[in-house]
Amino acid sequence: MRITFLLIVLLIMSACTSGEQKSSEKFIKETIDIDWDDGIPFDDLFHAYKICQAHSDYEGCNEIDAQVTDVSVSLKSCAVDQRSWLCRTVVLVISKHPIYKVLPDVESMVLPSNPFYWSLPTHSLEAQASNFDYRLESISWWWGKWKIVIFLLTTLLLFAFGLNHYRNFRQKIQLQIAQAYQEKIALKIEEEQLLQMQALLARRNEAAKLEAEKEVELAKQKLFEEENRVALGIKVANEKSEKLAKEKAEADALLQAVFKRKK
Amino acid sequence: MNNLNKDKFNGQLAAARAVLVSSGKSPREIGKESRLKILEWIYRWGYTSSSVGQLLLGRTSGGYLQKLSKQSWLVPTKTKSGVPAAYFTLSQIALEEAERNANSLCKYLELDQYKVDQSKIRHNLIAQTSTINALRAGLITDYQTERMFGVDGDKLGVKRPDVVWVTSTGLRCGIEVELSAKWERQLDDFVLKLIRALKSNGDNSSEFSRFIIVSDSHAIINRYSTAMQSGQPLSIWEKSDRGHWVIQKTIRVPDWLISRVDFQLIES
Repeated sequence: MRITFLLIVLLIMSACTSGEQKSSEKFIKETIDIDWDDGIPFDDLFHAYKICQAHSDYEGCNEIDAQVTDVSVSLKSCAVDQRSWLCRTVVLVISKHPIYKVLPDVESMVLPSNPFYWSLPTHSLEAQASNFDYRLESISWWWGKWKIVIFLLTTLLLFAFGLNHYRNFRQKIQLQIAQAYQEKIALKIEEEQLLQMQALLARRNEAAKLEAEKEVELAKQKLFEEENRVALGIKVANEKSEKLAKEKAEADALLQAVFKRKK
Repeated sequence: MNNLNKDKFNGQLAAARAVLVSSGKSPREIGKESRLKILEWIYRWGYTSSSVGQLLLGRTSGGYLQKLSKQSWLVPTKTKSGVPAAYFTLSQIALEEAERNANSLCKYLELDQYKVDQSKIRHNLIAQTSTINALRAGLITDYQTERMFGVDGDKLGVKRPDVVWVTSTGLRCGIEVELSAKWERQLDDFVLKLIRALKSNGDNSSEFSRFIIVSDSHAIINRYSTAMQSGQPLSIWEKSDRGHWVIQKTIRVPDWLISRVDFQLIES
């Protein structure tokens, strides 16, 4: 009977225990599944952590430990660097919450101090960063740190750009001047060549004219010579003819006298 | 009648004496001059006849050449035809005398009087008579017989006329007596030689100024005249390898030829 009682007690106890675990695990799971973007459930997390401390074998306890560690790292890191509104809020909220007492001791992490980061080092900080405009603040820090350099660089860049532009412009102007000068020289050369060509043409024309005049003169001379030759030929022919006529007359007289020729 | 003849003879004698006086020469000198004239004539022509000698001396009576023959200056030889009855050639002493007085020497082949070609006697005497007439008319100043060209040198292929008359104006007329007709090659050769003789040399001078062709035949005159007309074909002949005469080529008679040739028809 006793044994049965014990068994019943054990059974009842077992049944009670099993029901509590399930509800705890459910709670743990629900805690884990909460989206931190809408706010970090410190209360639930503390309670879940307590449960896990008591029942570390419960399902989801590892995640709870991880989340608590994440919160601890966030707090530790923000405690070191409280420039941001996010960190100041985290430190203020967590340090007044009962969870603070259960947070494990962890090493702090360096939070980004410039906007050129992909995400913050802890999930809790990353989830709340947008709510506290961490990136804007980081921009402000970064700008405050680098604005002079940026200004100087920008100035330098602008100066360099301006200088480059000025150089380019100057080069362009110089090139234009050089081109204009070259064009002027080319034009001058072209003009000179044109003048030379004109002079050459004039000389050629003059030479052609002289040649033509010479040819005309030569033709005239040839004509004159030809006329003279013809005249001389006519004269010679006439002389020959006259001579022949004289000789004929003389021969006729001779024949008349010698043979008493009758005409 | 006898008195009339005597008066006439005395008149002629007186006229002859007057001529002698006017010439200023003695009868001996005139005789010698006449003899030299005859000797020179025969020396140039080869031979002559009594009538030609009479014409040359301008005598009305013949017998002077017979007289010179008797004096052994000339050698008379009777002709076969009898026209003329005889021809006279130089004797050795006459030849020597003629050569002594000659301006230029020429070959005298008629010392052997039978070397005379009697077929050419009439031809030669016509040339002699014509020349005497020309000399007496005073129209020529000199003459050259065919044999005188031989002395000065004959040009190959150039016509040697029977005699050349030279006038005071420098006219050189070649006289060619043609009594027998020439045919084919001989006629072509005659015309070609005539052209060459009349053709101008490089210095515009020619061997002869004109040619006078003398003939007693109308036909010969016409034939020669036709052959010498401008553009008439003229064959040039040459001997083939076999020694035959063949026509090498035919040319045309130049237009100037006919104007420089005279033709004279004489009575037979």
